[in-house]
Amino acid sequence: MKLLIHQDLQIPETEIVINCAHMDQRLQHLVDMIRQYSFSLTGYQEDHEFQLPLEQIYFIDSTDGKTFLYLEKEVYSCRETLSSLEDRLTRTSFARISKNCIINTSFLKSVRPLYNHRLEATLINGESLIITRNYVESLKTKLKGANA
Amino acid sequence: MKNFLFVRIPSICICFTLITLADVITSLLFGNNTSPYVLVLFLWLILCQVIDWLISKVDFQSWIHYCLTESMVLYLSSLAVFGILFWHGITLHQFILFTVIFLIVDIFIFSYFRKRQQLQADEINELLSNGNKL
Repeated sequence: MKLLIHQDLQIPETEIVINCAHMDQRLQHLVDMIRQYSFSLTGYQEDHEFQLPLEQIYFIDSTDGKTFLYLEKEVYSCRETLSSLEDRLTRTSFARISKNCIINTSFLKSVRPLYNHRLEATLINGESLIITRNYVESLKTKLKGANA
Repeated sequence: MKNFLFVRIPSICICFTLITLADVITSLLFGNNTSPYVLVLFLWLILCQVIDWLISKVDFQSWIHYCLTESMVLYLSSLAVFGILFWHGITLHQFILFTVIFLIVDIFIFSYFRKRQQLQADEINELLSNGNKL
């Protein structure tokens, strides 16, 4: 695959053009990754609104009906439900791992077995999250898609 | 190994359970002289799933704590259920036999699911490591 980067201060907006004979799975994954970089979620901290780039969000968690976006060190509240975020993030590296958590698989370091059919996911920042049995297969499918 | 754990063992267990249940139910329906022991055991195993589900809600510190708690709860409740329903005055021989069988089944079940989870974790870790190599 040929990669061309044309850098010019006169270009007002970064543009990525892919020329290909046909779209295969690897290319589709690349497109999904690129799309993720132009996508952000709105987070709130003490009534201040922030646009958070998707590639900086480690995981999304829902507690007591409230949704939170976790970055490496900061936490932001979000006004969307976990289900609506799951729908919006279908074609990104995010995967549902339990009833109340969506993880960015780009930050997933490893998993280990826990008791009662659950797995423990460790992120690259050391955070540990629970993967419940109902979501193990969908996580594998997501990772297989990423590796295809 | 994965095929054996994920397909063969569940397949054998499901077939055995359904055939045994069908045999007991038809025998009971046609008035043959059959003990309802297997049927009671099946219903008790369903109740054990409920107990397992309730215990899994507890946030244990480690896998071994979970195993010991669940084993103890299931052992004592099974002993009580079968003691009341089937044994009229339990003998030492029955008690030892019950304990040995319970331990074998208990260790097998925990080891089986531990191994299944380990395989799943290994598969995900391999996918992650392949993804990092790309």
